[in-house]
Amino acid sequence: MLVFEKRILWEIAILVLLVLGALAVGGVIIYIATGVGPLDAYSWLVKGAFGNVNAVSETLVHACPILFIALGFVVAGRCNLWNVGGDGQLLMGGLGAFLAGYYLPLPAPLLLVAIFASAFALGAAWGAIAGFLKAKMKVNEIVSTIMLNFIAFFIIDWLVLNPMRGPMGIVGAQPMSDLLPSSAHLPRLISGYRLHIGILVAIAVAILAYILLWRTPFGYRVRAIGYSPKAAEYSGMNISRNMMLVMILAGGISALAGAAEVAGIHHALRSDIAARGGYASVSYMATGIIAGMLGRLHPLGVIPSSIFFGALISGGDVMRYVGGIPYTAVFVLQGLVFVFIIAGEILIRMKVRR
Amino acid sequence: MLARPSTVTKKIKHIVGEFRRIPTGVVKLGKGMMFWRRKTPARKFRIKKMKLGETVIEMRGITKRFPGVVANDHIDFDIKAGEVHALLGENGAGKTTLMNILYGLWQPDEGEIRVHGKKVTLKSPKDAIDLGIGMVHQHFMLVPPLTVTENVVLGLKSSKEPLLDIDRVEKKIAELSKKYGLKVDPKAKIWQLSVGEQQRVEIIKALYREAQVLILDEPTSVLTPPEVREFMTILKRMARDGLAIIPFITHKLPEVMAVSDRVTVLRAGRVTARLKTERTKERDLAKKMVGRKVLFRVKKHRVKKGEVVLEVRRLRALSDRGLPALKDVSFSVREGEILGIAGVAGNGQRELEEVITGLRKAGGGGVFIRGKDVTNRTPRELIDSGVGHIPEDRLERGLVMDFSVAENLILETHSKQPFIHKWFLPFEKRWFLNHDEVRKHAQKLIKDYEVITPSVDVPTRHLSGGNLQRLILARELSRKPKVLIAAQPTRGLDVSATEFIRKKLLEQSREGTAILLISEDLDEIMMMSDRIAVMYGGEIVSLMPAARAKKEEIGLMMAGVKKMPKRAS
Amino acid sequence: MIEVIETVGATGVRLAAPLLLAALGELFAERSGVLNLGIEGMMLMGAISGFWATYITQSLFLGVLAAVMVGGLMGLLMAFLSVSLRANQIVAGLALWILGLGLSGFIYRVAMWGPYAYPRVSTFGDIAIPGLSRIPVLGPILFDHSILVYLSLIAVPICFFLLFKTTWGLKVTAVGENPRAADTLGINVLRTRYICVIIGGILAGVAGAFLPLVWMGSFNENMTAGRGFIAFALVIFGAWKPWRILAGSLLFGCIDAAQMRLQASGGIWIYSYQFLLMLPYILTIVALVILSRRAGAPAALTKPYVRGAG
Repeated sequence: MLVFEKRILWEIAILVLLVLGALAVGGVIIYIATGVGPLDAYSWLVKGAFGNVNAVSETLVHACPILFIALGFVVAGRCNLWNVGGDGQLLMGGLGAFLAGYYLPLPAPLLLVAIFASAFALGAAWGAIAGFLKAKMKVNEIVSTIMLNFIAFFIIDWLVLNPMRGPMGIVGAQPMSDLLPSSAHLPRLISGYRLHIGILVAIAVAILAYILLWRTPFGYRVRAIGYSPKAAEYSGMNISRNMMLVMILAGGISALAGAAEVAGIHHALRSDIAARGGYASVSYMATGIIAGMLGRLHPLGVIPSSIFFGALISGGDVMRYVGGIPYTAVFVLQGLVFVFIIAGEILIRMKVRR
Repeated sequence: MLARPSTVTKKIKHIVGEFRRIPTGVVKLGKGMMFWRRKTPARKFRIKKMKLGETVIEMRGITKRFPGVVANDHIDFDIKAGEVHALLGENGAGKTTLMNILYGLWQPDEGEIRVHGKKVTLKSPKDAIDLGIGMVHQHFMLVPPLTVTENVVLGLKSSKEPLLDIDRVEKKIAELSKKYGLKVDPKAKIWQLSVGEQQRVEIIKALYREAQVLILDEPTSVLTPPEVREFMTILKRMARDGLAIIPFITHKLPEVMAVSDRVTVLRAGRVTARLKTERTKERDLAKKMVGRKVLFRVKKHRVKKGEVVLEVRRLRALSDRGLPALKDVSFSVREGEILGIAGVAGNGQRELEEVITGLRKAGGGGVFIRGKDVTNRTPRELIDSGVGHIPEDRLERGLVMDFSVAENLILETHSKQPFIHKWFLPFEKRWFLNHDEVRKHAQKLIKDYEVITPSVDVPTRHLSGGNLQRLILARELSRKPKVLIAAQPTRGLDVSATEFIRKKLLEQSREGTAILLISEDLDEIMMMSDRIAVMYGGEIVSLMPAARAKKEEIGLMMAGVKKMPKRAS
Repeated sequence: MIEVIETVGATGVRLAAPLLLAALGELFAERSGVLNLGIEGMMLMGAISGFWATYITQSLFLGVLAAVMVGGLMGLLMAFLSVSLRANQIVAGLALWILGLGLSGFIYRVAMWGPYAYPRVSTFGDIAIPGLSRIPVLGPILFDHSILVYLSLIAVPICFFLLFKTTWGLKVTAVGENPRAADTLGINVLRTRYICVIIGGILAGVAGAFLPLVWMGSFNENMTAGRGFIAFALVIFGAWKPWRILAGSLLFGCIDAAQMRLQASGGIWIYSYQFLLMLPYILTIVALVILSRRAGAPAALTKPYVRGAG
């Protein structure tokens, strides 16, 4: 077996171990906190995630925006740019999707393309801001993207409360816009359930991202700059221009999550689309970033890891209904997985003995 | 692979122990985790002030091995009170290693150190400092935003713990300053000081800690000539005081002759001479330094003079520290010619390499490729103008270590044919890497350049040094550059790699490429160049046809002794 | 008019205090060379521990103590990840942020009997300093606050003193600028960094405790709303100097207070208050643009130290 393939197996094995470790610690915390045994808790989790068609549908519904954001994180991450702006990009993408879906009088299939394209465009512009700040002014992209998240939230919030306020006003404690016409709804994959084509688009984008990073000259440059800016400079690459392009691309990809949420789930623009059902605090972005790290910053690797986190979320719902475990347990598990992965980086980097 | 139970308990003991006592010393636990551990209390043993002429420190049989090379090979070295004992040798001869051992940074594999006749083991710089040995490194260990006083007193207990007692320290610094002529403003911040002044701070740091032995590593390499003179006066004063005994590491012969009492010459890890300075001449020292080490010979063909390809006119540039590194450097290289730049590292070669390849700004003068002005252009433009570059810094500059071998071989050419598919789709054009071509290219190159690698898809990280260099060479030469800048191309390589690379370079020059060969290896320069230029202190101090060059003279010039009139190119 | 200045100023100081504390904590960490992006998570953990401890014991003091301990623990974790395991400091910080975010929300839900209860605690009362608080204008602004606010203000000169006037502070600076040099002088680089990061965690924890214990009397998930990152930016904005960080946080606090005032005063701002709320975040970006030359940044920031390397 080539060293290369052995390496990948080793990494996957360690990652699985680390995830299990995190889940174990999480199980203990849940037990201490709620008295529910880990085996019970996790069996509910698994049932809630994969137990029936609805469960699987929900899992994939959640996996979709996570995947988009993870991809946005990964594409930038390959260039050593930390794109923590998934929330803001998602919101701007949602705005773009809504504007296209609401105002463009196109027939259904074209409208769907326009929705995604518009979402991408706004998200790309949002990412471009951070990219410009980093490339030309050396502003730390982490702080700028995080600040932009909040700014985006307020923009959308204002829009939805004022010019774009819908006739229904405030629904479920959140203001929202008018509903999208049904031609702007993303088609369902399985009728009767919430699962829409967004997940397919996400997987397609993941594959495209893979192709871009490993099969195009641009992707080659992105990875070179990410690994070794000095060598990149030596060989003639224009570092600032490529960084800008990467942020534009990453912003656009994350924004597609907004399209998925607006056109696929809510069918309206709301200021809480970045969050999940009432928990305006923790967002898809945090999950997306962790999924990106778990997927080893690889576009194809984040597909299973996004599904994993989607499973955590939909399973978490069941944990709550059936076991009374607070929903936030899911966030704790996520956080633990993240910490474990980082702590385990040393293990992952260990040389493989032949 | 995974930790055994005994190591785990040891680690836990470490982790617990560290929180109890005041720890010093760093321990690496297995997989690179770092904690600190308890150390045995410091010795009270110190070097006492001695009569002039008595032996203070004796190093016997010191041997230190690194993977692939013996840095110090059974070296004997001793220092007497009141003496300036110079340690002379080219880069890589082992001087710094020996002194690092004396200062406790490294432990010798064999041999021992005796102070006042008593055997000592130095496990860290702190041990050396406690003993009374002070070191002034070539690259200063100073903290730029802090003042002189703060730097001097760093790490020491204050009389008014925990407050700093700046005034007292300043007074003491002023005393030391006056005593030895080390003029420095205690209130100045380090970044404001000139390099000469910074060096004085380093010396004061050591004296403040009551050093009796002072190790100075290349102290004059960063000084201007007037500063050098001042420095030597200071040295003499310190020696006369009997306190400081100064092993003085350099490759600069004039200084050695001017200020030292004894000199020990190292070459390839061994002592080749140990002499009283007044009994020797520069020529002899140069010979001992440079020696007759000839690995092998290549046959140098006759070059037919082509057109000028690379021209450098009155080039000026600053070093990273802001000092002038290139001062009015001019030369030219013709088609098919190899111009060798000889010189010890640190005399401007790196800056020259970087300016010509677009990685550093030129402050004045110009670089021309076939008459076209390419001064201060981007690396991309230079590459497109036909410049090939084998960088001195192979790992960081020349390769992306995490890329595969195949990927590294197209570093500059990845967006050009034949590595690109061009597909025209109805509404947009996307360019894809043609992996087949990339691999074919890589396979051919690794065959032609005898690169040993399991496959072209292996991350470059896994290759050995010689193979890495072959890769870079393969890549640069396969682009058929008009001019090739080769900096230290065979440094640290084994014999076969060295031989191969030199052969390939000669082949390339036969095909018409102009080659600028920058190398510290004088044998290499003499063997391969058509003309030889010597760089010292940022200037070309001599330029002559290789046939007329004599090794000792070049050695002298490399060490700053002679300055021959420049011959017209 | 004077009254407006007084109210806005007083509110400004109150709003600035947690930013100030967290930023000072981060200052210690960064000066020793460690970039801690987990401030936000540490603040949240401090908030929930402070809140919960106070709720249980009815003692605000114990609440703050709990925040100190929890913050210190988080700091210890960060130090372990970034100094000993030499993990990528940026990623480690983000991980602690997310962990803190999730864990604090989780503890809240678990401890507070389900999602519908809204427990409250009484907050720190304001203590007016006799005499001084009656000075016109400056009085109410500076001298009529809860004890934690006073603490944050006092922390500035203490921080300044520690970092610039003691031998230990000198070591910290050396470790952050040139750990190699510090090592050759016998300074324990690892231990110094551990201590500084833990201090950062403690201060972030207390800063977080501010929100429930001084402002709100209750806890919300993610109640810090990015303040930890603003504090992070403040360190850069303040060029790694305590007094400048004070100035920066007061500036931010007052703008925040002014924005609240504008909202309260009605008019168009009722409908467009979001633009006011955006201000702190836009300001942070602007501040970074102006001051993002790395002038003043500790030279060894984000670089793990390995002896003998290079």
